[in-house]
Amino acid sequence: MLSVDHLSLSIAGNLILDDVSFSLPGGQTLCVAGESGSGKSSLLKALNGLMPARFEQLVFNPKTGFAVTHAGHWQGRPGLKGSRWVMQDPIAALNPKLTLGASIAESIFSKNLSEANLENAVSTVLSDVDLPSEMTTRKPSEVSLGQAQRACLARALIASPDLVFFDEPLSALDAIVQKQIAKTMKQIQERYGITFVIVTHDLGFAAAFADQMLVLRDGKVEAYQVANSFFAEPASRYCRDLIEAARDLGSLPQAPLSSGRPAEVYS
Amino acid sequence: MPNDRNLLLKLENLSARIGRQVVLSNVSLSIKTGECVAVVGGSGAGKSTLLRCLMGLTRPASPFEGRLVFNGKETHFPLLQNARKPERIAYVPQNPDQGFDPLKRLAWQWRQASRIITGASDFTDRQKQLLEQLGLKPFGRSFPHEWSRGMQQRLLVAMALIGEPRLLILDEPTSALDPLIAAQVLRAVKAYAELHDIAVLIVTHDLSLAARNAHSTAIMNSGRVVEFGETATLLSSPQSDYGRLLVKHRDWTVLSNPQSSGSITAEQSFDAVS
Repeated sequence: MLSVDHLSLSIAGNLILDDVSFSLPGGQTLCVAGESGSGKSSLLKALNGLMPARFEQLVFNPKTGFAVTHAGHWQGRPGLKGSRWVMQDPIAALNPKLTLGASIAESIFSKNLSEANLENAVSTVLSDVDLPSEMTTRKPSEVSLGQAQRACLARALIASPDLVFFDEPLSALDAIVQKQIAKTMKQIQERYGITFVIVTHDLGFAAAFADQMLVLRDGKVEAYQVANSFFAEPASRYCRDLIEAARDLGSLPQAPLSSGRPAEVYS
Repeated sequence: MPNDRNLLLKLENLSARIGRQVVLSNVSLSIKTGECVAVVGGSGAGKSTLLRCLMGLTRPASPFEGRLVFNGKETHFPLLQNARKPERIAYVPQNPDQGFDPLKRLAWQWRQASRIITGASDFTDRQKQLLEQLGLKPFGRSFPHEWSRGMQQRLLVAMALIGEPRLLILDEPTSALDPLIAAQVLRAVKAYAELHDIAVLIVTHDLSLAARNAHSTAIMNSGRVVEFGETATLLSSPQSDYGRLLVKHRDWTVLSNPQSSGSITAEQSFDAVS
């Protein structure tokens, strides 16, 4: 599980995040939504120790039973042990000089595996993300965006993390590829029980994926709800506007939803 | 024919190439006055090339075949040596960062646009009205970054509308903006277009956006229009393989739908093309 109590982050006197708390059980998905500039990405950075945030408590409890509690300032530390991060732009996230195979293997370099074991691990993880094995010898410039994003997913997965952060994982991809990668993500989560924290502004994606919804607005928590009830009865006017906008753009179905997950109701 | 009077744009058999590679082949399209048409396709399908050809640009892709009738005027593409934009087509780029010079004041940029399009740089009443209808405030002395992105995007639309175009082209109107702002921009544009009988061409990779807004939709794949017809018909009974794939992946229900698991092969074959 991942539990964050009263996180706040200020940079040069500006309050970027103000009193954000959530608690996410293991194997579930939290989707963080909000306009651009609302602090979604800053939240990820703060959780990974890339920004000087203040916590009252941060508990991250991997399945090994090893609990970490940090109080006070959290700055310049390495990210949460046992977590990985998948970025928005897969081409920028991969080293252009390395083959995909090398990039993926680099993620567990510190484990000092033998060549054969390493190859084994890479091929397992490639089949998990539906990439053909010949992709290991390609460079990022030689594959499509969708395949590159799958490689990033593989790179995160090979370290067998308990928690994966996603920063807009689909927004660089086109509509069909988006849905196929989302499907792969779902399969992976079901197979390994990994906890996901996904920053997205696509509410259609969030509706199909999230167990919990966290909506940020100007760094404050506008809504923190179970996904079902968020889409059925949004907590505030602003959330209703967000859902309305997603309907207008066609990423959410038109009819107001009474119960259940929107995706299921719609099909 | 009564149909012909309504016809605003008719594109026949447009083919274009970059170097030796043919990137568009035999693209035909028609748009009626005041209609909203969407062009849908994955990355690399030739959507942007099509736009550039419509705007009369010949680089990097140069059209070598085809005929365009727009607003009663006819252009043959191969003869188009010195590229000239057909009058009264306006184009709104995907992203305000591409559309504005960040170092110049908005008022200056507006004057430039106005001078190029109308020949006079003074701020007419009509232009004031235009800004008002799109919900924009006077510029003052502000720079682009002082406005929100939604307002910047609406200002780009307003600039495109200075010349009273008959056809407004929106390139991926939603992908650079967050949904709240994208919906707001789209609403404003649609309201204005309806009021003034302007045809809108939306270029997008997202069929659900087309389904919500467009009267008719063209689906492009690897440089061809594989399907063109009324959006409703197309959604209910897509004729081509690629169309079926798009319709199937239109909304997020595919995630909870186990039958579509075989689609990875389809993704790869279409990826290979792009």
